[in-house]
Amino acid sequence: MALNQKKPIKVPSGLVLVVFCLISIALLTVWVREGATGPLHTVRSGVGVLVAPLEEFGAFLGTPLRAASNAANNMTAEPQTLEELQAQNEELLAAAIRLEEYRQENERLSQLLELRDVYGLESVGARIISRSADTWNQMITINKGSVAGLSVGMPVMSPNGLLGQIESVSPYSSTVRLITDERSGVACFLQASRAEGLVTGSVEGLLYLEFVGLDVEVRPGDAIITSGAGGVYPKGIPIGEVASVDFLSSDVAQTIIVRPLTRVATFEEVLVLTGNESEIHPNPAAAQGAASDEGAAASDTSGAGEGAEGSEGAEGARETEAAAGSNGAGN
Amino acid sequence: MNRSPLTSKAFLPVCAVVAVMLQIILAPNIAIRGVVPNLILVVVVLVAMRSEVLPATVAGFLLGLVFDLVTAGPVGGMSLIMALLAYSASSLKKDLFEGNWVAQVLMLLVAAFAGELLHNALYSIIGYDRDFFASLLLRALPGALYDSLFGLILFPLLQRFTSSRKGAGSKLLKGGLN
Repeated sequence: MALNQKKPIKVPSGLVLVVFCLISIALLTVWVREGATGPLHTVRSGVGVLVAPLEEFGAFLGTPLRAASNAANNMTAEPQTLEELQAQNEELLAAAIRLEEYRQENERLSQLLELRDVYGLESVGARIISRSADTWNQMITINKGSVAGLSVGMPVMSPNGLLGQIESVSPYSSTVRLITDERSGVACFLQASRAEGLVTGSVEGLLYLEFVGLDVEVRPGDAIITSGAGGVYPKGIPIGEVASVDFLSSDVAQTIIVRPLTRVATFEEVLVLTGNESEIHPNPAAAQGAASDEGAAASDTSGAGEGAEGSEGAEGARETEAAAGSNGAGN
Repeated sequence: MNRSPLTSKAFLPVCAVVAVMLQIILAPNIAIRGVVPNLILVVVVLVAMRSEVLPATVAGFLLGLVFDLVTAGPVGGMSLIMALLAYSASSLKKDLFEGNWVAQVLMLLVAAFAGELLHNALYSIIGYDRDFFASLLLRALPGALYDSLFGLILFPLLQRFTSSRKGAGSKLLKGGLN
């Protein structure tokens, strides 16, 4: 019957494109406005649960690739490098013995003075199941989530030093923004001079130490550790060492490039610092979903360095770390 | 009769699933100095060059949305960009691309760079503090080149399906190629 024949409806593709563009812009707006517990973030967490097995499979496939890469690097190392490493190992052993002595002495004196041990941190071990699947974010995914007691904002370490901070958590996996990501910032100080600053990531994958004035003597090889200011990372975690220092007389701060102690490509396992609770302060704003406007969060630094003492630069460093923490964690 | 290995209805969904799987499983393992290939974008553009505008736009939007959900970027960003890219690639005169792999790879290079550029711009617009030009030089350009390299690898595979498909009378692709 002619009446029953349905005429195909031709949908103008231009109109469809406009609709999709509007939907995308609406999604973007919601994403930027909502907090870490908003509907889109929740959907992404759900997708994270679904794709976690695929990521684990990818990590399994990638293991031989990484092993081959490491083996190739080791094979091409010069014999002189091996000798240098052996010598360095002996020096480190001697240093470790001395440090153990100092640690015990410190413990005794701290007990006498009734000081709290700021380095007695509790941690949960986790395995890296995936690296960034896009170019624009330096992230890793680990195989522990809220079921294991992890929450947004917790610091993540390798055996050598600081790696990053948990940005989102699903029941069985978490994503970690690395300190080398350009949206990361860590309040720190130079171990030798105790000068405070802020270590930031960059698009070129380097770490920069900012807000260190010209009056501070900085030498290549100086160790950099977290200062605990800003309340995002606990005090005393090694970050890296100074690789190079550069400044002009007209500058207000030195340009310091930091060599990180941890290269994420070489690690399979990480530690998530979960306690002691008095020292680790997962960003409460991010945890409660209050870091609603990520863009605004970058500039909203109020209250981050409350009660902190120190120079103006260090104050800025603390505030920026707190902002970076909430900014990153809110993603 | 020259039968296609895949039916015309299954072709696009199969390409979509393969692209997503490759992005999740393969892409993180083959990153070079932080530059991860956007295999979903590669597949979207290559398929769009062989498809009609409407299915290509829908595929671009949906795959972009999936990309947004499985990566760490803002949700809605890549869906917008891939819908635009797919629409543009499928709207161009198809005679230009038919059998001309150089034109296809050049188109892919341009589309990949445009995609990375738009993504970079989007980050700046929504307030992510980043060095726009450094990102352009160190991420967008290498990313586009890496994507195009994968386009060269995927191109013969798609060519194999689409050439046999013409004989099978695929409406989806035949319509696009005429």
